[in-house]
Amino acid sequence: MIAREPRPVLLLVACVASLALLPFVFPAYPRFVATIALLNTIAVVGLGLVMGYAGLVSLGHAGFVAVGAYTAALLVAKASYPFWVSLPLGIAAATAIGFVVGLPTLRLNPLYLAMVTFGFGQSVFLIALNWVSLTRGANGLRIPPPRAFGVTVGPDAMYWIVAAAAVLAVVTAYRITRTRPGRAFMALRESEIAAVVAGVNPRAYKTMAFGLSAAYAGLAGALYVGVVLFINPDSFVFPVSLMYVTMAVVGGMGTLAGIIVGAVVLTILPEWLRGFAEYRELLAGGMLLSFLVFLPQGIAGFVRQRQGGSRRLLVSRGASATAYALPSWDSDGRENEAKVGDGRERLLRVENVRKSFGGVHALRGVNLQVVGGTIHGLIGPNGSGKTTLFNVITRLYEPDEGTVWFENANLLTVPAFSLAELGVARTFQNLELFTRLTVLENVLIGMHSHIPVSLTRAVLGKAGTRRLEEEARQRAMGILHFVGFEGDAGQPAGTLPFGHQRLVEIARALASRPKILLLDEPSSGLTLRGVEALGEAIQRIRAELGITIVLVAHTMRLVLGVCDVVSVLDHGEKIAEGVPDAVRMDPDVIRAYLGDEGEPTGGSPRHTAGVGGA
Amino acid sequence: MMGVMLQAIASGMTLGSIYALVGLGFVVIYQATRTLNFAHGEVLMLGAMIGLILHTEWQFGYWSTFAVVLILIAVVGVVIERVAYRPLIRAPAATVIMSTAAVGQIIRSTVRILRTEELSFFPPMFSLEPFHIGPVVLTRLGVGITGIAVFAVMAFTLFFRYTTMGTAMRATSQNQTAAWLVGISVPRIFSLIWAISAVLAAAAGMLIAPLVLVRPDMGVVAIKAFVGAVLGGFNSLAGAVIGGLLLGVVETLIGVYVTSAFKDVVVFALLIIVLLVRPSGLIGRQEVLRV
Amino acid sequence: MLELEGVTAGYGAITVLREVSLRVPEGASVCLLGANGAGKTTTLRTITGLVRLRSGRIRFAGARIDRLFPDQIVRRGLAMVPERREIFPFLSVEENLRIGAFSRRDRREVSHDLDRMMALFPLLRERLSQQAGTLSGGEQQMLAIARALMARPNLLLLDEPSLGLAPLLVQLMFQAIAAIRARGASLLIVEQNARMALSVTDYAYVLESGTVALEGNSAVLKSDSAVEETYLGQV
Repeated sequence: MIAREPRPVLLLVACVASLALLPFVFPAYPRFVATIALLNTIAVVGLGLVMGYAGLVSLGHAGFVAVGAYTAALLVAKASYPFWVSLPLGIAAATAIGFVVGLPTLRLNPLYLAMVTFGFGQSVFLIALNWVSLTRGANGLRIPPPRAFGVTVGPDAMYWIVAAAAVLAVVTAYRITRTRPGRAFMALRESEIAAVVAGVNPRAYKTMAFGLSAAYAGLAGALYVGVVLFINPDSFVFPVSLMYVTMAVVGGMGTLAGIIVGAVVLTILPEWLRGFAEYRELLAGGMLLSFLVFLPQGIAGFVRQRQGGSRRLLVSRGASATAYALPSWDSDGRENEAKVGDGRERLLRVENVRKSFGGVHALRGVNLQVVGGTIHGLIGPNGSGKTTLFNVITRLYEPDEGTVWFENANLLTVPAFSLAELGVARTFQNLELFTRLTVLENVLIGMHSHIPVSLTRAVLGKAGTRRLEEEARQRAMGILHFVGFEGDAGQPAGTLPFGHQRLVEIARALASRPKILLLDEPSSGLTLRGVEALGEAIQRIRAELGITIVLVAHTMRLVLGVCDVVSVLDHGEKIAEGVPDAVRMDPDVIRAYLGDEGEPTGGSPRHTAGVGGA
Repeated sequence: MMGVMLQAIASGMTLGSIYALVGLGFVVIYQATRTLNFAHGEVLMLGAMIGLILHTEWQFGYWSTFAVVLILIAVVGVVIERVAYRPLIRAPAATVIMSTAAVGQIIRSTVRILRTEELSFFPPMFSLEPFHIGPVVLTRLGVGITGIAVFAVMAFTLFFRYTTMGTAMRATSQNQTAAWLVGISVPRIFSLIWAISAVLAAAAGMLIAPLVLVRPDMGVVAIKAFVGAVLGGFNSLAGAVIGGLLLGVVETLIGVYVTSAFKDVVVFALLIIVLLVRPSGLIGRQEVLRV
Repeated sequence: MLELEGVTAGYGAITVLREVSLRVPEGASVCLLGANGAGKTTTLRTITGLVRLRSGRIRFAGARIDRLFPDQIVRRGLAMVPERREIFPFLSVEENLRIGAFSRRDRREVSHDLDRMMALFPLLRERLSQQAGTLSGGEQQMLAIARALMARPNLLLLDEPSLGLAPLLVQLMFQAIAAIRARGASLLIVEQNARMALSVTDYAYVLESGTVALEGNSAVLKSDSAVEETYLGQV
């Protein structure tokens, strides 16, 4: 691995240096503007985490800033707390409110979420405006300047504190976005279903994203009070929330660099319109609209496109997986008991599962037993219920009736995201890759349950974190190598040729170290050679990793070639089961696939009940 | 005591009718395109503002003002659809919210820049003269607004149910691919829907102008209209209206009996509770999951 | 009537069809066979304008239609029954049928056609006022076909009409298709049920990985083991 990422350390040093030089170069007013730009950066980095990374719309960010600001100001003004005590309490208050707002609203569709966050922002504004006895309403609150070591901390000194806080905030966000929690955010944004299947707890991470974003907002708000020494509700109206959104969009929401650029540019740019709020709002609205329509990836995305570079490189550009061996698969923790040949125990048992949608009966009491160590084929014509069955097993659909046992656990009693940890992995017929994330990140998200990097761990950047992440990366490359992926692991998955995308999805499923792997039509869309390679890969997964496989496929060649047992579904019922050759000759199966000859005499008696209820 | 309560309910009905009328515009767009027009309130304001200028400065009569405004605003609706919705049709839902919010901000700040006069008065469609029914004081305008809101809902319900174009709109909202395949020009439907929604907003704006005065931020009423629509159920026109009326009454009662300074805060809290307990609203239907 | 010449099309980065050429002569009935993912549905979606083609040309009734929007194509007399039915679930059965005639101007005739559809699919008659989403799969399929016929198409495209239907309903479906044919409309059918499809069509194309691998008279292909192999693998 040559030349890791584009040297963020160097970039950081450059930023810190220019921040340090700035006060010596500029007179007072630009210094004040710079302070505000840094405060906006802190706030917008928080917004970027929740909107850009986790993909949750928030139109009330100014409300969180206000909570931080008012908490700090009130504690100083009314309770005479020192500013340095009020500051963390302001952050804490904002974070707590962030969780409270985030928690109930996460199940909502984005439209409602937008309105609720908007309503929250508006409520905070109204409370600040109308609770005159506490906040002095529109007159605003004034606080004495913070003091430290017996001296007053003036605006110049506050610049240093704000600058330090901004650097810290950005470094923290960088650490979060480059490790497990940040990947979980992005996974939820790209495809919630795939993220859940990979083991990401959607509620926990979405709430976390909201709490985090509010914490950043609270920090910005509390510091703002320390700088300006005065607040009134006007600083937290809706156009301010929209300005934060504009900053994130203009800079490029999915990248930290973009967010910073957006915050700085949009603080400085409207300065020549100082005093004309209307013009500033007009400018912001115009920029927001034109960027959304013409440059949705923002300035950062534009620059990247110009450079022709790929999104984010976690390994050097062009890194191929061929140099990696799959590191000791069984050595840590999970033993795959189900080796080929031995263990005739039934690993997966589907009992009498029924599922219908409206008037369509997709599954009519399906029973299926998968023996550990086998490759079990599941075939049937289009619409016979194969994918629905997979969706029931992996908890994406709630069945109307029936149970699903995996080892000794009733899968219907556990949430979908915990299946990865139990050892169930799957792929999707139409591919559910995280298309804007790199190949490597896709596989890393597959390892979600196996990388012990919590949010605190990521933020504190403990010594072990780097090592854990590095090991995970090595392992991911090994898995990519194992499935035969030979492309660029630093490339966004969505730009790969279709066949490679299939391999990456299988690699992601393998990354969770499953005991059973459910492959949903992995051969569709592949060339004949691709299908052959896939067949070999499936056999190697069973032979070398000891993973049991359930294979849904239309390509009979593949099914006949690799499966030990084949079950056939038709109209949501199992019509045949046995070794491939026997199933292939079964008259019911042939009829299911090729249909009857055109004699309009009615079907077999077994199916007559199906009239009007197919 | 009883009189205060009755009066609050009566005033709440007027307020609720305003919410209903404005909320209807939200629902119409949502039904067809599954998105929200965050500039709806600003379209309402723009309608009232143009009406004011036509009437007071260009000396248009009341009804000709009304007609000209509706035509102009229909065009505005089509333009918003073109610039803020159609280019982003494949983007995530949140994007359209941001883009329409941006349009709203553009309209609001432009009006602020071009028109610096403070509060301006727009004549009422019906008399503001109060009259009494028992202990309750009403105005013709208040009753008129309620009447128009009810009429609008019935008209739209009939339109959506019984006309070919209305059916085509419902069809488009349910399945765009199928809509194309039966020969519906989906983009044309979108233009039409946004125009209708804008017309509703402008009509509401001119109706309520005498009560709230024409000012650049009069669009905030749209937010509570949205809350009302959610309350009743965003999936049905009737739900939106009943929700709007309910919210108007509840809000007025809260204002009278609980807190007037924080009644909006209570309203937003109510929104969150309703979304948690019954996301489909009080009479809205649950959407059936399709595979 | 319909002619595809070297049509290449796909979604995003994926190319699904590569240089596909096929013809549906006036009054003929043609089927398009092939394994899952071979590009059958994409072919139909490209013809109706739902998927833009990258190169090649499509002619219908003598004029090019490959730059038109779906609604314009439908107006020219080409209707499609999409895969998985795609009915309007919250409209009533009758509304679904009436909206099928959206592209027509002759109001009176529409009511006549409604009666004809009832005759063709008697199952629908009893359900006229029911929400279409509550119909069974088979009934939804009937409705989708009837809706397409309401446009009085000269050419009807059918995507997997037997998909997910019980055998008895499949029989009914193909009786209906035979009846449609008897009225003189041209047909292009995409089918999984190869035997049935070959028995109601004159000519067939077999797609494999987005290209035409095989074509010929349906009667000939019916006895050709090559077709069977694309579904069930080599013997």
